[in-house]
Amino acid sequence: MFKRISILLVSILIISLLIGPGIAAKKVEITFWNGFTGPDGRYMQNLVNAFNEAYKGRIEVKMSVMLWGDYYTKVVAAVAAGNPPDVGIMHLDQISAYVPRGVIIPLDDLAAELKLSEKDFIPAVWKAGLYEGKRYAIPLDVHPLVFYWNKKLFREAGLDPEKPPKNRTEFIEYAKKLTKDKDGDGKIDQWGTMIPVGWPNFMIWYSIFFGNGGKLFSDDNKKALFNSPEGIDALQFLVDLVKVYKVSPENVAVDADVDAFKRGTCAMEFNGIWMLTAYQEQPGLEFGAGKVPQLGLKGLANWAGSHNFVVFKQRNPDPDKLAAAKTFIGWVSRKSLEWAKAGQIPARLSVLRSKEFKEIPYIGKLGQEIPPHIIFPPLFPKYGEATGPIWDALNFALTFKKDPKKALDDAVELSNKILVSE
Amino acid sequence: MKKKLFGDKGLLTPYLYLLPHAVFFTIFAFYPVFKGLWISLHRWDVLSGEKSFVGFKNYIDIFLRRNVPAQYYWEALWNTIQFVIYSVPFLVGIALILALLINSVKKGKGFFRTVFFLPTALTVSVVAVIWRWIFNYESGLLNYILYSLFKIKNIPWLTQQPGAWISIVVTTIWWTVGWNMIYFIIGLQNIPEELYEAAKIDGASWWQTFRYITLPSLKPITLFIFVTTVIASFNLFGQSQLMTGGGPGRSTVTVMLHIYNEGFGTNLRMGSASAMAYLTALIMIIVTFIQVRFFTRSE
Amino acid sequence: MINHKLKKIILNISLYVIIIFLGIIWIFPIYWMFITSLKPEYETIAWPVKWIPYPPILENYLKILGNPVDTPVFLWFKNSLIAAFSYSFLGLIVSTLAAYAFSRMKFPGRDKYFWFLVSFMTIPGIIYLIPNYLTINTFGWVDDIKSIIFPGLASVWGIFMLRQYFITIPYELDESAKIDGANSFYILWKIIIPLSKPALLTLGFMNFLSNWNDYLWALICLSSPEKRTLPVGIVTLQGRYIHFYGTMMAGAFLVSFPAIILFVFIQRYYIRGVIMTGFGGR
Repeated sequence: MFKRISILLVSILIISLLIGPGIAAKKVEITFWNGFTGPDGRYMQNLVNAFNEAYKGRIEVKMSVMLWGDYYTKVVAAVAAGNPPDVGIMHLDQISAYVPRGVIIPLDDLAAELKLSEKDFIPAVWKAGLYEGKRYAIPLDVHPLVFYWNKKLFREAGLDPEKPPKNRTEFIEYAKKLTKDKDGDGKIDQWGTMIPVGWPNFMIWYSIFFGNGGKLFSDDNKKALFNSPEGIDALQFLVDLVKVYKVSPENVAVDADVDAFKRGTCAMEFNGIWMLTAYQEQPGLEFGAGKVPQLGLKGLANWAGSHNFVVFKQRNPDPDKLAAAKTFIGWVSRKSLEWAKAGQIPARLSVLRSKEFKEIPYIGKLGQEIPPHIIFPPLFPKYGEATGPIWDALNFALTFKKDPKKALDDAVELSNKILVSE
Repeated sequence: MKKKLFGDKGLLTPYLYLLPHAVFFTIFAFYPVFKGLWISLHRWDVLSGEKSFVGFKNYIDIFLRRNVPAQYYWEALWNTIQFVIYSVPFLVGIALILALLINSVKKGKGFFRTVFFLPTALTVSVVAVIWRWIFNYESGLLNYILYSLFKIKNIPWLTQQPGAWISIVVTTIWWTVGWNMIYFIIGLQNIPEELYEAAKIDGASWWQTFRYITLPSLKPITLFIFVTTVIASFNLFGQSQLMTGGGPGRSTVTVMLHIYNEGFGTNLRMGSASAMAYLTALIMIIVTFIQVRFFTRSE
Repeated sequence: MINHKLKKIILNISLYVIIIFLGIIWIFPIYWMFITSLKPEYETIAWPVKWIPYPPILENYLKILGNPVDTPVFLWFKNSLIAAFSYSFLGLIVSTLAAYAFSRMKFPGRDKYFWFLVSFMTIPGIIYLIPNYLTINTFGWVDDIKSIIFPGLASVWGIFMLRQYFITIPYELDESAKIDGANSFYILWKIIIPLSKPALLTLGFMNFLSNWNDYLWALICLSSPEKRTLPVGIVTLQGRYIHFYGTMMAGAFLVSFPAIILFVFIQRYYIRGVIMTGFGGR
């Protein structure tokens, strides 16, 4: 009997020795798609490489990058074809469009495993990843609208280069001082600010609108409310900057404000935090970056988007790949300091408050200033489509084709139609 | 006598030669015509796999403008028709002028022909990138020339009308007029010398020669050019998508762009997109028919 | 008399002046693209404009070529090359076989079938996008190079052009070969094809370039950056470098110069192709 038991034990031992290392030696490969085509892509690649190094032989992550516009199309097509990537990034405002279509899976268990909760992240962004009570997103970063100003031009106008305008009155006053006809030919060559007729004017308008106390949609997301006095006031302010105060030129094309800010012909500019690297690389440009001034009448709101990790629904789920994907997400989330160097504000509070983060030029400061004022738009499936008409309305108003009230009224009409369609 | 099936003089041999093409043709040209129509009668969601038959609902929705995409479709159709009207006269007229010029110079015909034909070798995305840069508001070449020579301050080519249409039309002319020019050159070369000689003997002026000999002889090729140019303009996609993004507002969204966004954008509404495609195809066929009738009636 | 001659000379000179002027305008955008790519970024947006970049820098090209993760230009080039070549080669085979049957064989339904195929050329391409995409999806060819090679083989245009050309080859050659015991394939291989080299080259080149330059269909079918072809790849570039005009122009140049070089060599085939069919393939 003793002999039989020992033979059994030895066989078990031999079998586990044979299988065990076999299992351990099986490397899991997962695919990771994102839209970081800008300079930030490099930093994400660094993170991926570091992860692959740390998990060498166990997990390998293959990263694919494409334009955000294409990314959403392709990821959706891939889910339809049954072979989407294992892990991906999604913008916060897009997530709710995809949950009801079964594109991404809930991550509550992941959050529990990683012991993540609201106290680990910027509260607004953590809350925003919930859809109907379930968590679908793990926040990676926050990318806000940022206020940029040209310090040299401030000095020349007699303004303190370290003190950007704080409210509407100051903004208009500074802008007037910064708008000049330098060579005396009767045409203005330096503008206080530039309000583009397209991207990213929605973010600017939204910050003012929210700061006015405005609400985009009714609580049941069935009615559009943005033609309220708060919305009209926000749009009118932008239009007045061009028409009444004449501190911004007309017809500012998309990216014309970027070029002008780089050249020093635009003194104050609103754009995403993603422009930071481009401005830092411009020789001779001395600028400051800070939170958006309080242009709303009731409070300070700073539009922000957020990149989040999501896991896609596979036609044939592979538990090993799923586990590897979750490991990857947890790891990157903890290491988001590296990501901060790419020009994003990390969503993880521990990183945000760390000394190393605070020392990163520009971003360190932005990371302290902006998070308390961040606003995220409401999350529901039709959000993207229903806000489409607002972009058109802003364009019509800023090109003087419609006055702000009419533009927003028309947009609300279209938006309501979209909200009730199937 | 037994008839062979294969081999030389075999009954089936010719069909064997036709088979490879027939396979691809059936799968990718014949079958899709019906499949597309079938799709247009459904609400077709690729993601969830939900395909529900809705009969002619998609078409009715479009005609009655029952939803926002349907509204946008008619806007897109009108934009496309505008583009056809703005672009075709130039695409034909400038091609004719270039062809006449090249035909008239003694030396360097081949060289100039290559120069004007070269842009057609480029793909639309490269063309759009180059011209987007030229039409750039703040720092583009065109605004620079206008300012330094004529002191005209920045014109918003891509963000306002009529600048947006002008920039798309100019880009399209630069890119594709070479084709029409080649057709005209061939057409001109096919005109028999005797006709010109007879005209010279009769003492006809240049204009008379042009009007009574050149133009009529070019009629067949001109019809062909008109038909293909109108169809090509109807299919405008790349320049709208990449230069103006459909803006300002939605004024340069074309049917092709709208259908692409509907069917392949984030909404993936393939049923209604397919219906729009069939509707547009019908309109294009009618337009072509009218053109051919117009040209051949005035014989 | 002298007056008349003078008039003619002035006319000639003015024609040349006009055509040279137009020629310069036509070539200028390509020149502009090229020199912008050789300028450092801050110089591209600076006014007054520098017409000749001095000194020219290669930084913009290095940025693109040295970044195989975001901008795998060599992969794009490889994909374009494989797709265009395969399409061209397979297209030649398919079209030659069919055109041969239509032009030199008699069989029931021949002309009816031919005109049936030709009639399909009038169907607007817009209706094919969605159903063919779904077919591709069923085959599992989404994001695969097969999706931009095979669907195009349904084209009738090549058959039309080759049939037109084959008809001009005298039938006596076939007959004398048949007397010597040759079968149909032998005639095709040893007689027709060698005599049709110009037409075949023309079709081959035109197919190559049209596949090389295809944008919309490749945009729909190919998503991963490493699977993309050059026309779609440059759009990826735009997402990344949209403000960086020097880099964008460098990308534009890299994407377009293979086509430009190819074109300069094959454009006479193009024109011949147009003459042969009475119309070309846009």
